[in-house]
Amino acid sequence: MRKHILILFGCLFTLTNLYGQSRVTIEITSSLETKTASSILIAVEKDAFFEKFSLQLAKDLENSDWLDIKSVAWKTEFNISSEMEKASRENVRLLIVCEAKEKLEVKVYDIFEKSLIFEFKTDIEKSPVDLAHTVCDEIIYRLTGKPGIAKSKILYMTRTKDIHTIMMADYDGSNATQIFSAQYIINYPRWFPGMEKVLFLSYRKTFPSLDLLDLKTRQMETFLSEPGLNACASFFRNQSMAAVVLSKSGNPDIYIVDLKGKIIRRITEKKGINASPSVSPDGQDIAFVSDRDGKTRLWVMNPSGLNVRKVDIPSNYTTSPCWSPDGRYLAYAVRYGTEMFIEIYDWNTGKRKLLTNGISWADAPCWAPDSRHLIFTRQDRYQNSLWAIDIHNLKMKKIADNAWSGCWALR
Amino acid sequence: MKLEKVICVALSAVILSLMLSGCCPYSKKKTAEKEIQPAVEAVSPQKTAIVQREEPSVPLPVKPDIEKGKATSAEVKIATTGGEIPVARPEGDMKFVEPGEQLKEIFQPIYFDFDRYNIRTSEQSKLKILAEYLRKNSEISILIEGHCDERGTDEYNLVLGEKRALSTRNFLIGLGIAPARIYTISYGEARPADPGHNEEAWTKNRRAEFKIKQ
Repeated sequence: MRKHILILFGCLFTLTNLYGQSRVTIEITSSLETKTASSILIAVEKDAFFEKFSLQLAKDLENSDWLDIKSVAWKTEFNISSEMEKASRENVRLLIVCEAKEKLEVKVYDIFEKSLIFEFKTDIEKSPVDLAHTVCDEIIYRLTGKPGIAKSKILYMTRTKDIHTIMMADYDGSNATQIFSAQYIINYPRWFPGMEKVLFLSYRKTFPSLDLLDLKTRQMETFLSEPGLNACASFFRNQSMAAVVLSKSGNPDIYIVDLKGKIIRRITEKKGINASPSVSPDGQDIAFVSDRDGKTRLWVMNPSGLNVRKVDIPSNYTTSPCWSPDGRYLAYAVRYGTEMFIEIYDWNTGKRKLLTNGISWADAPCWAPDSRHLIFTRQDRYQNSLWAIDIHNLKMKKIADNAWSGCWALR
Repeated sequence: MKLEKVICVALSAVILSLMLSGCCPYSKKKTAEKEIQPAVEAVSPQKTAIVQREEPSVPLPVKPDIEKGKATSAEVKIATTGGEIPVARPEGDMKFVEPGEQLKEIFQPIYFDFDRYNIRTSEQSKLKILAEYLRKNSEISILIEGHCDERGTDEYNLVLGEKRALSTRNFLIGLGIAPARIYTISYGEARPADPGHNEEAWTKNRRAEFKIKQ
C-alpha cells in the first residue's frame, strides 16, 4: 500500500513562492483514480460551529476527489510527532491540523516525510460551511496547483409548467436557489467575467437575445440583440471579449464582441452552420461546431478565424465543445451509434476518453474550475437531470433533477 | 549635324524617361491610392450625414419592385445561389399570429431530414404556394419558425433551427419575396409539434412553421 502511494505521488513537491508564503504543488504522475489517504485533526474545543466545520471540511476534501479522509479526530492537547507516527501506522499520507486562535490556523503534514508541507491562516467566517469551503479550496490549491471547487457555484435551468427558472447551487448541488424566473423561454445561463453577472438566452423581446442579470443589484440589461439569433457565448479569460453566434448576415456565424456587446469582427464565413464557440483559456484558439465538410463536427481556429483545422473524432455528430480551464482537454457531446456521450480529447496526447459509458444520452458538458470535474445533462426516459463526473475515476454525482444547461466555471 | 544628334539624344531621353515613369510601380501605386480615395471618403460618417441632409431636395429613385414587396433581381440571384441576405431588424414589439383557418392550406409547415436544413423537393411545392400568396398580398409580412426534434444536442439544435428558418427564407426570396417581409426565429427543440418520443413525432418536429405579422 505504502509503495502504491509512493508510486501515486511519483516525483513530489515543487516549492514555489507566492505572496511570501511557501506553496507546495504535488505533481501526481501516476493513476489519479486513487485518492491520497488523509486525516483531519481538529485542535479546537468541540462545539457546534467547529463540529459542523469539520464535517463539511471532510466532505469537501472527499468531494474534491484528490483526498480520501480516513478519520476526523478532536484533540486540544497533542504531540505532532506521535500523531504522525500513529497516522503512519494507518497508512495515512497527509495529516491536516486545524487550530482556532485569533484566526483559523491550518497545517498540513506529510506523514511519510515527517515534515510540515505548508501552513496558512484564514479568518474565521460566520458560517462553518463557508469556512470549510475556504479551507478546503486552499488546501487543494496548495497540494495540486489547481483551484478547488468547494466555493464554486453551479448555474442551471429548470422548468415547472410554463415557468423557466435559472438556479444557482453549491458545487455539490446543495443550497439551490432561484435567481431568475420567466414565463418566456430563457436558457443556457453562463457566468459573465467577474462571476457576479449571469448571461443567458432570452425571448423577452420575442426574438432571442442575450440578456445579462446582475446578481447583486438584480438589474437586467440586454447584452446583445442583433437581428436574428444571438446565442452561444464563450468568454476570453485574458481579454475583455467573447465569441458569440449571430445570424444577422443571413447565416449562423461566429463573431467576436466586446464585453459591452459591441461587435468587433466576424470570424467565420463558410456557408452552413458555425456554432457553439469555446475559447481556449489562453485565448489563442476557439473550438466550434461546423458542418462545413457535410458532417456536424468540431473544428478549431484562431481568434481571427484563420488556421482552421478539424478535431479528429470518428463520429458524424459531435457538438457542445467546452475547453477545460487548464487548457489540457476539450469536452464535447458525441454520437456513437444512436447514443450520445460525453467524451474528452486530451490535447497533450491526442487521445480520447469516453466518460459516460452506460448512459444512453448525455449533453452540454461544462468544466469545473479544477479541470478535473465537469457537469453534464443526462437524459433518462426523456427526463433531464444534471450530473457531475470526475474525469479520472468516472464517479458520477447527481446535482439536480429536472435540470439542464449547467454552467460551472467561466466558459 | 552635331546639333541634330544632340536634339535626337535629348528627345530620346525625355521619351524614355516618360515611358519609364509610366511603367514604374511607385507611380502605379500612387494612381491606385488616388483611385481608392473617393471610396474611403464615401463611407465616412460625415459624408453620409451630408447625403442624408441633401436627400429631401434630390430624392433617391425608388425601385418599383421593392414597393410591391418583391425581392430585387440581385436578391433573387443571391438567394438562389445560396448567398447571404441580412435578416430584417425587428421593429419594437412585433406580434405574429397563427394563420386563420382559411389560410392553413397556404401556410403549411415544411419538414426536414434529421440534422439537415436543405429544402426537400417534396416540400418545395408548399413554399411555391406560399410565395404565390405573398406575391398577391404584398402588405403581409411573415415569421418563419425553425424547429428541431429532440435527438440532437440542445444548443446545436437552437442554431440548426435558425438555419432551417433561414434556408426557408432564402427559398422564398428566390421565388421573389422581399427579404424585408420575412422574419426568422429559432426555438430549437423547445416547442415540439408532437410531444412523443418516436420516429413519427420526430418527423413532425423537424419543421419550419409560418406566422403572420399583425
